Amino acid sequence: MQLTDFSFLFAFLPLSYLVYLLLVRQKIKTSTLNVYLLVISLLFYAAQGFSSLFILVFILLWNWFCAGAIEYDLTQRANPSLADGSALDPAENMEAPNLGSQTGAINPAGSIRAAKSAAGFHALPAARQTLWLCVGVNLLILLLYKYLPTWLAPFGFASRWISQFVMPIGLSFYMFSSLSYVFDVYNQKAKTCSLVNFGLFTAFFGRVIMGPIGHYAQFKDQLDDHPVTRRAKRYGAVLFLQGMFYKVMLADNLALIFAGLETNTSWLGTWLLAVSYTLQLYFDFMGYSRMARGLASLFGFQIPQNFDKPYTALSIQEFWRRWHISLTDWFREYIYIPLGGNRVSQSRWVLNLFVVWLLTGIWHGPTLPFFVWGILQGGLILAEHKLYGNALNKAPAWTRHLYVMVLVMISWTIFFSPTIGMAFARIGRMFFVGIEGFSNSQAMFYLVHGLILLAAAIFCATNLPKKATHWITVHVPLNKGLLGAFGYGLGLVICLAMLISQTSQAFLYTAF
Amino acid sequence: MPSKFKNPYAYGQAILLVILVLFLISSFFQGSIHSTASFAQVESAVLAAVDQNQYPKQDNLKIRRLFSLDPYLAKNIGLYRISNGMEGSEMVLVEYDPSQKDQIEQAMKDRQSLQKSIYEGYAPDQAELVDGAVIDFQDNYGLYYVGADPQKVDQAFRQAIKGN
Amino acid sequence: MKSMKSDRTPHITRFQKYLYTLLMTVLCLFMVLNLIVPDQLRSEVENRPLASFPAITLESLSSGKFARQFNDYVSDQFLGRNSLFHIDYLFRKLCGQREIDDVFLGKNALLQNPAQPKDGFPNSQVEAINAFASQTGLPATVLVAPSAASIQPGKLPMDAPVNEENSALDAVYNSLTTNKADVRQSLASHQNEYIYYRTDHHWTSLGAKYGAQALLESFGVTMNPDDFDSLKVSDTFEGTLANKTGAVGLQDDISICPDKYQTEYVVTWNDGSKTASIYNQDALKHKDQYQVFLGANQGLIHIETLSNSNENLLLFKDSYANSMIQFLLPYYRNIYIVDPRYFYEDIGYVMAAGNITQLAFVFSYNNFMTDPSLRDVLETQIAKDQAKAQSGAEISAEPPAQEQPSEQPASSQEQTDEKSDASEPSQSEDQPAQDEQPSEGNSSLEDTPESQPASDPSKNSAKSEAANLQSQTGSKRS
Repeated sequence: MQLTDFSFLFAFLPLSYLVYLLLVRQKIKTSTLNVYLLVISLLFYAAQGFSSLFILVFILLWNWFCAGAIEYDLTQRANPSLADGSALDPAENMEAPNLGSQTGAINPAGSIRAAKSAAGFHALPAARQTLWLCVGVNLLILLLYKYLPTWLAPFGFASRWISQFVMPIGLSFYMFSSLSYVFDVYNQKAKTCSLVNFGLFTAFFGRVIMGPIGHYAQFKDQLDDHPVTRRAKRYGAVLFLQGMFYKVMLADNLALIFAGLETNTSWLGTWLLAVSYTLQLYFDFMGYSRMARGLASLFGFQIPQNFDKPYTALSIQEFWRRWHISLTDWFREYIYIPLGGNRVSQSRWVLNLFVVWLLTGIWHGPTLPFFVWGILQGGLILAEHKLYGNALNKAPAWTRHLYVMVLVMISWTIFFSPTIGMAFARIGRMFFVGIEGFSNSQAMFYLVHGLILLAAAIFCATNLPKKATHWITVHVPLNKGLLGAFGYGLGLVICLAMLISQTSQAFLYTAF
Repeated sequence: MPSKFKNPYAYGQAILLVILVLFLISSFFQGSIHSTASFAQVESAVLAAVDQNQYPKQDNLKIRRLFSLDPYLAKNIGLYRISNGMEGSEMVLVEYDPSQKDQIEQAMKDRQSLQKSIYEGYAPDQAELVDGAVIDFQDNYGLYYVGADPQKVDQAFRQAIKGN
Repeated sequence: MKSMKSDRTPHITRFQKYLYTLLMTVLCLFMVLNLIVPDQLRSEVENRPLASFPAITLESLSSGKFARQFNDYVSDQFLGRNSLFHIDYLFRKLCGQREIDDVFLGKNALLQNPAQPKDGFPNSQVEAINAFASQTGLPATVLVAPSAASIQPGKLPMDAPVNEENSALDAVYNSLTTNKADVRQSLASHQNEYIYYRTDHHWTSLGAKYGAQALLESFGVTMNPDDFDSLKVSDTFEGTLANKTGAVGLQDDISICPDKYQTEYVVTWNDGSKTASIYNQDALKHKDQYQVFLGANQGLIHIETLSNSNENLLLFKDSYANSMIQFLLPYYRNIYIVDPRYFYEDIGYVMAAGNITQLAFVFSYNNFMTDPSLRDVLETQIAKDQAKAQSGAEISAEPPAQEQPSEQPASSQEQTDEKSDASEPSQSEDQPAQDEQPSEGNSSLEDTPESQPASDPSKNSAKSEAANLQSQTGSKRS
């Protein structure tokens, strides 16, 4: 079930929400409300099939038990009243003071050195053993379902075995959310919670499929208290509708342009392909995230924003502070900082940087273009730091903006190309290498007839909508509430119309 | 393994690990057979296991008509039955791309239930024959067989696709 | 840090005050309305059956199929679905979009983007036709009707990326050993006339007239276009392309063209029934008005005329020829019309019983380049004839078991009856459209014995004899 499915919009959501409001009105306890929310989230996910649900439930149980075990071990070490034989190693607690963790929590990276010196896994304290075991099993599952099917495809027998593992939708997202819980418990930034609360945090139906990825330590307080205030309801509706507009009116239609131009080899066609993807990816992902946040708000939760006008950034570093914020936040908190972040030697820092960006690339997909894309981001950030950062800062804003957009579009071209060869061919064409003409009729067709769509998308990617709204507030004397309702209502009707037409095509040409 | 874990959560971990291991082990037994045999080889092996007079090969039009299936969905397909409509015995052998497996298998299942409901009225022995049919769809080869000794024919089919 | 939840919520603007009410009203209202309003069986706008509530089985739940079917159900039964479909079309058009699902939104017309020929497929099609024609030794003509997008490029939106037809057509015509009716030039010279429908992928009666002219010319017959009247029977036709895009504001006229000499004829349909007219007036009351020409798709139709001709034509066709038949009536004694997608009988028998003297193949570009039915039918017959030739009298000597329908006629009628109740007769669309049953009659003309003019058969011949007698006594055409 997707958030734009009619079965979600006109069956699941109104029904489950009305029941929830009823429960809230009856002053049901939050912990019971959470049980209800978890159940409906699992039902939502069960629409994908039982085998997918099985994997989700397994991940939930496994990570919860592991976090519980870790916390138990940590409290044991703090109070070694039980003779469990795990000796406190003083070296463990004396982390190199220049390593990044904010609160002096136990640092897995520093402990790696201790572990190495103490000869092997079994010498690690129990909490760390459990952590590695936990992460290991998670990674095994991720490997099995996401990476091996592609990596083993060329190998006859193995590929047949692996082909039975079909990746459940959202695996990358909810696994990372659940690992956030485990790491926060391990780093003692949070205490463990009930299985229900943890399950809700990870698998809330709004975000289980496409994020934003949860950060447990920042979210946990809401689990105990998430009142549905009037403001929260309104805000939720706003976000939900805005997200839908971005996804259905902009992203889905930009996808048509993208699909039409995939084989175009003219200069214009190649750039148009990159532009349409750049916009499509943003509005699709941002729209879905916004819908997720809107749903969360309807139920009283606040999820921080996942995108902050990334295409207004003036440097690649800034871009990555604005794009898929929950993911970069996760990598920074749980990989980059534990590795030492930037409070290490130069060469170590460069290593850290590339490790994080390579992993980011891998997270997005199992093929080479994703790895190259990830490394490229790391390289650009490095270059901005070391090579031309100062020059960049002094340059006029519009050149910086152009610089960012060109590099971003080149990056996305690598990202969406199925092979690295095609990616380079396309990039070449963007710079006149190997083009078949400056333009052709196909490219012109999509440009001319997609002009309004492209203009609207570019407009919405900037700060202009806010300014426009402000202008209207000041200059237009109509009742703002009604005007807004009318405008959004119109948008909603158009979205529903577009969603309906998507469903109609499926049946028309069933081959007999 | 200690009889008692000191860490209470370890019980949960252990159970889940066992489930995981069992799941992984079972995965090795579930893969369907992917054959490298040619259609002709499989066809002759299977036909050798049946009374060939009962199963002459029919043309594509029949497949389209009787099974409501576009024969071009498959890489290779053969329908074997005599033309007499009173007989339930028939056989379909298909070679396909794994992505088409479900659609083709469903067409066979639909045919089976249709035939069964038709014969139920006036030819119960044929209905029983249809009911006992073999529908064996592996990764890229499938068999639908109605007739005597379905297990024997299925065995022959499996031997053939395994490459024996 | 204090957690004051309401403080976390950002401020919403004055525009957004009523949006919660809006959202909840719309969602809840339509949920309730959809529950109350009874389910529709069919969409008139899209011309297809609509999903009903899916069966709940353990298997469908566990595989996720139920959820998908349920979603289809809610979407299909959504109140106001048709209006939304039209709104979608209008909005897209307003925003400049000029292509929806392979249909170009042109200047006052919808134009289908021609199909890409399947790899190597046209070759096999041509080979089968060549072999069949030479085997029968009869004069044969092939006519592949080009699409509006090729003939009327002026109607396309600017720079439309149309799949080109001419090179594939040239290749086909060059490798055919039969006669060709290359109607492209003729149509192109008339391109400013109303030769293609605005909302449908078929050509109009006028376009079909030019096609018939070319076809007859290839057999050495000169057709006089003025020999035919043109009577408009509808101005509200909305065809397949309108169905596909949800278009509004575009309509077509349908004209029928009886010949001025009022040649009398009898039509024997696939189910054995007879009428004195090829036109199906009833169709004008339904969505697919194109069915006024020759009704629903069916395997075999026989027309016997009182024309002066001695020629008997066997015509293989798709729905493009439906509006062309009316121009052929005065020039043939008998016309046997075969739609290979629904024909399961023995062509050899039809040819023998019908005393065929000429062969024609009339197909649309799309079907010719992608649909294997014609090739299947021809190849089956070629193989039969070759086998017969090889084994001489052996085969014909052996009386095979009487070919019974593999389904008892009674129950199969039930099956088709049940299914037809829920859906209208299949359209005249050329694309192998939905899994609707072809016209009911198919079931009664079951598998005829292989190369035997045995007792089952096309009661066609027996009936047509009777019809012959009848028509000679002056039955009138309606």
